[in-house]
Amino acid sequence: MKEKLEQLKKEFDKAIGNSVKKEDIEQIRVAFLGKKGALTSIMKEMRDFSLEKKKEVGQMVNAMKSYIEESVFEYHKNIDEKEIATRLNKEWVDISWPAYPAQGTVHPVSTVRKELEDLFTSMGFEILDGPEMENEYNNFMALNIPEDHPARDTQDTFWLKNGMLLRTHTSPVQIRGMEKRKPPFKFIAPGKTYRNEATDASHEHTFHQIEGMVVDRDISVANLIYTLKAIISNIFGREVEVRLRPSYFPFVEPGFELDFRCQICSGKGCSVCKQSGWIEYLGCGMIHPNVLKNGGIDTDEFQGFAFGGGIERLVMMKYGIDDIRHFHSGDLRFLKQF
Amino acid sequence: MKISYNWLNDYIDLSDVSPQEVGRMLTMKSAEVEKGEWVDAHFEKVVTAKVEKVEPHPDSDKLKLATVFDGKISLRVVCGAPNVAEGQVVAFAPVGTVLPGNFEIKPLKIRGVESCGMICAEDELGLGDEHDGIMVLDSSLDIGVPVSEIFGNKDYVIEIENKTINHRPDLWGHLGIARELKAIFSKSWKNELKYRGVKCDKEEEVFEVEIKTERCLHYLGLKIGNLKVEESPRWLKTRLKNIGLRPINNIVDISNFVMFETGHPLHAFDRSNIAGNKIVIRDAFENEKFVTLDEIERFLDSEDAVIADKEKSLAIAGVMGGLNSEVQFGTKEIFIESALFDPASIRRTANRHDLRTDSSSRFEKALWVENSYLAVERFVELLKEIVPGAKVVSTLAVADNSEGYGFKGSIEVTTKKIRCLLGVGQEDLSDERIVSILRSLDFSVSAEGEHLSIEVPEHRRSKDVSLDADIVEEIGRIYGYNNICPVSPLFTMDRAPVNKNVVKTDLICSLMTKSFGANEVMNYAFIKKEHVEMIPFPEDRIIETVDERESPFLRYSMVVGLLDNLFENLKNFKEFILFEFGRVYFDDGEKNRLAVIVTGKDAGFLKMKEIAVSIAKEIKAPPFRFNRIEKDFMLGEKILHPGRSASVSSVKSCFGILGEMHPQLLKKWGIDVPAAYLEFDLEELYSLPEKGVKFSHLFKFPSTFFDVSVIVPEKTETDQLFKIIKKSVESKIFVETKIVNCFKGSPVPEGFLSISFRVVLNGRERTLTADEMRSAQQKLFDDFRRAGYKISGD
Repeated sequence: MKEKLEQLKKEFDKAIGNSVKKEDIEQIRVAFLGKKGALTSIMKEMRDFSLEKKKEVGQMVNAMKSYIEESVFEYHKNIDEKEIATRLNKEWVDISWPAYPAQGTVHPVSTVRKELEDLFTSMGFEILDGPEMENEYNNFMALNIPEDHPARDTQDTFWLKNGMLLRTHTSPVQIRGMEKRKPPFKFIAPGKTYRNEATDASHEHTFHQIEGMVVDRDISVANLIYTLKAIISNIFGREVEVRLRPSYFPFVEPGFELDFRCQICSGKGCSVCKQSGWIEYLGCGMIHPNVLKNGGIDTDEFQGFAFGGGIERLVMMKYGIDDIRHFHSGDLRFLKQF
Repeated sequence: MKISYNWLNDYIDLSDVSPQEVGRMLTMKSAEVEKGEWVDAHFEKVVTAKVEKVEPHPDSDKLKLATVFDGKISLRVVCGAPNVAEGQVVAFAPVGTVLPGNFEIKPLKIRGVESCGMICAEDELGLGDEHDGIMVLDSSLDIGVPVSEIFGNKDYVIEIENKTINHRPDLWGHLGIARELKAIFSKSWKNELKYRGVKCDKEEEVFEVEIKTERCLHYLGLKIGNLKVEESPRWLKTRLKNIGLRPINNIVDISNFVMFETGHPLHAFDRSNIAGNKIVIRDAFENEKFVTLDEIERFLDSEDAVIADKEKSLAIAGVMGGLNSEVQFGTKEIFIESALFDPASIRRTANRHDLRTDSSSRFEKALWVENSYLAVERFVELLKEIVPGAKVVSTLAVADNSEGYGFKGSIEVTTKKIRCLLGVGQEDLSDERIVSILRSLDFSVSAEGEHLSIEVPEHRRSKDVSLDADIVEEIGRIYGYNNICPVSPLFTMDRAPVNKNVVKTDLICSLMTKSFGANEVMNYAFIKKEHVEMIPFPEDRIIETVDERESPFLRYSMVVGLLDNLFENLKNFKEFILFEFGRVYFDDGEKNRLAVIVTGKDAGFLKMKEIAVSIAKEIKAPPFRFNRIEKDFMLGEKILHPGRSASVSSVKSCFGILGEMHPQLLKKWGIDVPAAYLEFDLEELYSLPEKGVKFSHLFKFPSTFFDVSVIVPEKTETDQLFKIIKKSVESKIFVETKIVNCFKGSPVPEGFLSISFRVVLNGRERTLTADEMRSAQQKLFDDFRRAGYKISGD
């Protein structure tokens, strides 16, 4: 019996050694282990053996069975590996073939506006909106700019035939915001504004501003500096030096202009900061008592600060854009860059 | 406004402060200095020199070779002036001098001959317009001395940004700036100008003044005789020239000098042109014709004030004098006016006549009465100095109408309030410091503990200072805003109310760019007349600007800008999606809109519908419904293809339109490729209720499905077929149905389509039997047939 099994093993080894395909192996497996297989018929012969012999032969047969099964598994595995290796050898892509981003682009002004909104909301500011077509009261009168006030010179206005105007700044939202709120509050109002002036590389009749207002009991100039410094530093992602200069806006008193250290030359003086080392950025100040009163705020109890600045300037600085007219060009060659 | 550093030194001693520092400190504490620059710095380099020899140039007929002695050595220069001659004393610019216009003298060869410097003409030195020849100086002058000894020292001129002193009438002259610097640098007056009273030398005539209009607040005038109108002395011309004024004659120059000294405009009339001896300030007559000094005939109206004699108007009050009484060479007597006019009236008149003058821009800032006296006194002083024979020959004629003008009271404020607004502590800004700052600015203060009672000086009362906030500004700027230590405001921990519109706009923006690869654009609100013609809209609802412009109308649809964008971008791109958040404007207000335009192979109705339903999902709106567009809704019938467009609604009324663009409209824009368009009203869209997501359990048992192909006439809305399916299949086994195929052509008869639906079923708690599925299928077939449709295979 033992000889028979050894003979069988030799036959198996030979057969499997010559196999190349998975089908060959399967045939061999069936030839040995199938219902009519060689090993199966040996096992059938065992039926007539004595118990002792059964035990002895049984062990040998089982060992033989395991041997065949393991070999089959091994050969299968080898063939798989070979097949994969062959496939991998054949398959190839040109990794230099160009690919393009699938997403479109957000307008750079919207991107910066959103960054500013996120920054302010993270500091607890509410975001307000207001109409672009405003009345004279909200745009001028309520902001302490009566008719015939020289400050109207700096704000060339698009007057409309229906008696309204296109807002010259986002400041009318101050009035609208105050009217609907009880202090303390703090909000920003970003949006489009209009000036009736000729356009060139640095002037647009349509542009964006962001307005902000904080009203509470003891709001001070020191708070204003802190807040705006935090905002500017966040915009640039690092601590930025700021300074206040006295300036005049009828709706604040005292009024300032806020400059920040030129981030291009670090204050040494360059063409962007006109050699001054400072970038003029925001108009701001403590809200004029008349304006607070016009917004229905009790000036004995509350005070606050307000600020406003252009968004395009920041966008231009951020991306190095040298012509403001690109923003409203609708030109995909421009838009796709962002 | 330009300010001369030399001039400032007339009033305060700034010798220990550099002019640049003056500019810097003004910027930090008073008004923005735009720039500062040296004027006449070349006077220190250019020297007097003697022309020793003049020879012809070997290679030119016009040029000459001059040898000049500059006090140390003799140099040869090539000179083109016809008047150069031996023995002359001239102004010689040696190599290295930078003349006005940034013209640097360099050694160079002219037609082969070396030239080491330049003999200057008047214009090259910036002294006048003369360029016909070199400037020949007095031959008795010493040789080799800088010409600054003759023409004056160099000066530093500071240019102040006018808008930053709109509220400060007192800063519109050198005296006011000096007063400011006096406080900033803690100095005292070197020469304080104060009104002491104008003396009449000899009363020859009595003038009467009458104010007949509210537009005039105060008027002074007097007559000066024995004059000689001539060129001004050099020092005066230099002062004016350095601040950008052109010298004219001594009378005009002195009044300009006084205006730029005190900030108060004066006007001199030729006495001989005034009829009678009464001056009336009245409103102009309606349509009154008047020729101003600039020789332009203007038509006045009753909102303009004029200075008049008994016969005629002599000047537009506060704006410009008349040609009929102009001071000229030959004028012997003048009537000098120093007045105060209502700021708003002056501004209106100047704007109406488009005539902004140095005078009107000062009067509109609200000057003060006292200054008019000082101005007239200074005029007389300077005139007598320059024209020694001049005599005041009338007493001061005065009329006043200034009651109620300017702030009259005193300001009560506590030092605590000042510190609270600035956000500084007592250790940094003591009560004493506050009082001393105010006093340095000429405020008088009486302090009782922390309580201050403040009297405002006259020059700050007319407009600028009347509130405690104004006092805070005075303290803050002199103390130095940059000395204030930043402090975080103390806020509560409450979250700010969320602006849902902003959140939804952000969501749609990111959906459009991320899911659809779209690019955001921004377009102007303004549209042209031709646009209105192409997309007609009721005229009474269109908003128009008052000024005439190329694009005078405000858009009432977003489509104009996007069509322009489409047209322009087709030059470089074939396939793209653009979107814009913007506003449209109507007689009853403006609306926020979203608009999308698509071109390329995707530019069909379905693409837009896909964008619409994606927006609904993104902002969690209830499902959208699509209907044929009704007439006049959002200009749909003008913008969109009638058979390939829809209006969009949800639980409320319609809020948008979408579909393929009207071929006629595209043609008008010169666009020959298809495009699809969508416009949504955002107020309506954003006000839709938010639909929360509710999870439904996954089926435990597998689903099964059957397909059904229905033959339907063309132009059948599939919505009807879906309704039949949903009605036919029992809801407890129905899962979903979708279209799996749709085709026309054989074997489907002409005019029909075959649409195949897959109906998915699930028994929920068990597996459906084959019988159940078959009976559902049979029922659906029957229901379709009953509704008049054929089933494929029938």
